[in-house]
Amino acid sequence: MNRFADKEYFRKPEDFRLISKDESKYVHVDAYEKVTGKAKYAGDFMAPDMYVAKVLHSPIPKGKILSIDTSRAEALPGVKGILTGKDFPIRITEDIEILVQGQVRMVGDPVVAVCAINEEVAEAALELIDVQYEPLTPVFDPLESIKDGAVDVQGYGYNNHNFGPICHQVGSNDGKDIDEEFAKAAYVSVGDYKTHRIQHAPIEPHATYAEYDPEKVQWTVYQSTTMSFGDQHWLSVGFNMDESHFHVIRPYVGGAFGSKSNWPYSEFIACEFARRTLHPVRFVLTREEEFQTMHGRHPFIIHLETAHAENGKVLAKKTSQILDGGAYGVSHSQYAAVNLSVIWAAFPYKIDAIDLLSRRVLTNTAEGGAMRGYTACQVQFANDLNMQYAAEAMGIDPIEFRLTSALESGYHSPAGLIVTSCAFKDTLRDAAAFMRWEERKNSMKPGEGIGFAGTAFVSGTASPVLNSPNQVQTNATVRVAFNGQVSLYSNCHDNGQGADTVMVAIVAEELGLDMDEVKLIQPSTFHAGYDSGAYGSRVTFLGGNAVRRAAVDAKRQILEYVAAKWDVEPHTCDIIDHQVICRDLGHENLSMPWKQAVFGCMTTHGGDEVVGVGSYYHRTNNQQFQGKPSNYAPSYVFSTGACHLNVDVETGEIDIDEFFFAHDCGQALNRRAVEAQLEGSIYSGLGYACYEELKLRDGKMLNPNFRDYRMVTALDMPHITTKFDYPPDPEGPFGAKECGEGTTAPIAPAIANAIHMATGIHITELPLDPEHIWRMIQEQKPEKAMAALKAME
Amino acid sequence: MKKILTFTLNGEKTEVICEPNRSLLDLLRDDLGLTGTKKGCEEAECGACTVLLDGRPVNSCATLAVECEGHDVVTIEGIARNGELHPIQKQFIEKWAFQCGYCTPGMIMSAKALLDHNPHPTETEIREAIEGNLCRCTGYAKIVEAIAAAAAEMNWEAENA
Ligand code: FES
Ligand code: FES
Repeated sequence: MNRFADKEYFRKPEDFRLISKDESKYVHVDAYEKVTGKAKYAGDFMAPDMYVAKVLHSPIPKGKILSIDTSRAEALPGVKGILTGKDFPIRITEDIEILVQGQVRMVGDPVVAVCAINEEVAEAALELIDVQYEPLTPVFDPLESIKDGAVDVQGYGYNNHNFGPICHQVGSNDGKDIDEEFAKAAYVSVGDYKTHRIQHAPIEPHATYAEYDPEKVQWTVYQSTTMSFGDQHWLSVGFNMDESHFHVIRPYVGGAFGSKSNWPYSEFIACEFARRTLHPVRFVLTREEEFQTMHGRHPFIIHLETAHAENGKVLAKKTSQILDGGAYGVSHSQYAAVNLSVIWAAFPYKIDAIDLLSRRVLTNTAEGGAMRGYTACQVQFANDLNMQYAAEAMGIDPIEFRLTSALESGYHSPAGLIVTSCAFKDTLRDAAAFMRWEERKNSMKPGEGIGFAGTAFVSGTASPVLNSPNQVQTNATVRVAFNGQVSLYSNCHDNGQGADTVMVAIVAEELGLDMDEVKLIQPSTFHAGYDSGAYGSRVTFLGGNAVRRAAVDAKRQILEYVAAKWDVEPHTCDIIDHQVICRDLGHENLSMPWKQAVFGCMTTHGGDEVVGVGSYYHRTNNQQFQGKPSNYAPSYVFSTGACHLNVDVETGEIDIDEFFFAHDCGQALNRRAVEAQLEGSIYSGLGYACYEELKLRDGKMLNPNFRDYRMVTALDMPHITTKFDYPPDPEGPFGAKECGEGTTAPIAPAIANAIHMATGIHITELPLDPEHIWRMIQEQKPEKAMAALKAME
Repeated sequence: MKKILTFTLNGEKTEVICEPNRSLLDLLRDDLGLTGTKKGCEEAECGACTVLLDGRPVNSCATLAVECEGHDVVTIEGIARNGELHPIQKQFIEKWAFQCGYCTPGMIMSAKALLDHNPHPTETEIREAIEGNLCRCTGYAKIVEAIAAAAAEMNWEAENA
């Protein structure tokens, strides 16, 4: 069944047994493995004859490689192979080489790879390699890099920004003219904002375990990945061989947050050494490599202007956003970064005239990439603070101010986005009610504040990454054996968010079975159909819809058989708790056990198994990548984050005692999983806002380790309350929408707005750690903070 | 120089040949195949590699294997008994106290060390006990809940034994 399948066989909400029931038999399918240590992650695979691989990275931000001397390393006992860019000249995109040959462009560029019998020998070998560089002048500041005549980062003669991704969307509804809208505005809010660099830092580093079979000419690759078909595709491009040579297996993945939708150099190097040595090869990145080379969140520089009517309504908006892209990404998936950053700028308000420009600029720093809430965390920070300041300047209550322009169902944005289900206004009102805003807003002590932030995000994406028929993003198969046993063949990528569990639950719900009766086949590129990956908040919505259709396709065949026997219409039947039943008037007493129905169905079909197939896509014309209007996602989600905090104005320390999060995710499939995603989002957003910052000096990271890169611990987390009871989405599986990615975006602005209320400081930059807050108080000396200081005396 | 190391591992006397500079983590994972103990940083900062050494939680990445000579080591593989999960494991399942699960073994070992010494911890004591265990997924709320529930279950069992 495809996207346009006849939905008459779909489970009706009144018959849900698993979906969103507090007391249901909904279980976590990975639970036992994960609490016992039996769950195997890519770095847990090993063999007695296994070798390991490691890489020597560039210590300088820009320079020519003059010479590489590996002779001393080659002589070291236990070294089994050495590769430089010359021996392994693989380039997977125009700008990215697996091992750099001519010119290094950032600290951390991989230059030489070593294969050895163990980690100690490999590390010792790296010490013995001598690489001579001719240093070249680097550029680190995107504002410098964007100037004419600036240092050429790539060294190919490209201009640092015109060649790379740019997205410029200009448009309006009802023939409105943006200049006229600005001219007639009662108030124009202008702001400049800046965000910093952070890293995903999943606790499991990227790991590859690769085996090569010379007779079959086939690799088996266990990869910590959220895009296994991407791995397979790029390996085939890199090695210039058909995809059928690469069996990529996605084992348990220890968190990704965007970092594992790549195809890291380590994977190619492990595969090449496995081919050359005929031994299995393991390559696990160190924590430092993870920070240096796995493309963290883009720093942004944002200028924005919004025009407001007398009542505060947003009339028009102009932005110019500069993304610090680091040294790479001119020619691959980084188009998404600029394109999405424009979509977020058009959200979550009705804005009838827009002029939104995003440019991704190259610098000689670590590459920027996708990270949880891809560019939304940065853009929405600026958006929301700008709304807050505009509301204040116009003397309008900030909740009222947001409600006046808030998106609603049915709105068509000039950016092309079509809003279907939308409970944004409800989330704003719920947050205000929870915080007792009306009652408390005028009675805060100096140093005390409440902040709100409203944001929107996509639920699914238009991009299937690879070229697929109809832009299909997931193909799933459900197989029912003669004994009633059900197998689900699905590659929907689980990175810890619970995709395996939700897919099994969807099949069990549709077929009226318990979850332990549905067996998920070990996901891999050979064992199940295409799934484009865990990115763009697409897994539950797009993958879940495909899996649901596969289950319903199998169900339909069984119901058709039973209905014919009973002489009733098949779609009046369903399967509830292991029984086929009929809802047709006068036939309510009919029932047949599941196993009997399956056996009978197969018998009538000459013994053929019952196999259901399902697929799903959200198709667009790809115009969004050209900056043209296009409806990027099949649905959108809306959130309001709110917090109450106190600021110690003497030290700049903040104490958040309550965080409230209202999220319109449609119908929650599993309440605990949604709650967990929201708690994780608040954790992640709090880290971004107040704790984490990758510091660079001369392009080199100063704190690429867990000691100096401060992450939120169990002691730092505030008390959290969540709400997510909003109407189901018409198209999501069982009415579900996104949760857990875009939900990181409102955290930083909510905290910033609360700090602003508590102290009066005008915030335009992240992070908001005590030092920055203290500095802003000292520099700005706002009345409120001064009053709070006085009260402390 | 390699030496023979003798220690108790998950209740069993174990003898293994070991390099003097081998970390307990690498010994467990690569030499003994006990990959339930995870490697997250190798710099004693993330807690993914937490095991119990004579009942105390230690970062096995920062513990030399040879230091365990004659001592008692317990890993995540050693806390279920006769096929029955430890109450902390059960409550981690019950409360959905994990997502990717990579921090989970270390988290459970830190929780076990806490509850073995302090059967009635306050919420703050629970949070302090797992402060050295970084989790990038959950926001810790469900982990804290699970540990508190496990404490209650263990106390109930002790009182009704
Ligand atoms: S691996 Fe030992 S503390 Fe991180
Ligand atoms: S569950 Fe993923 S790191 Fe804790």
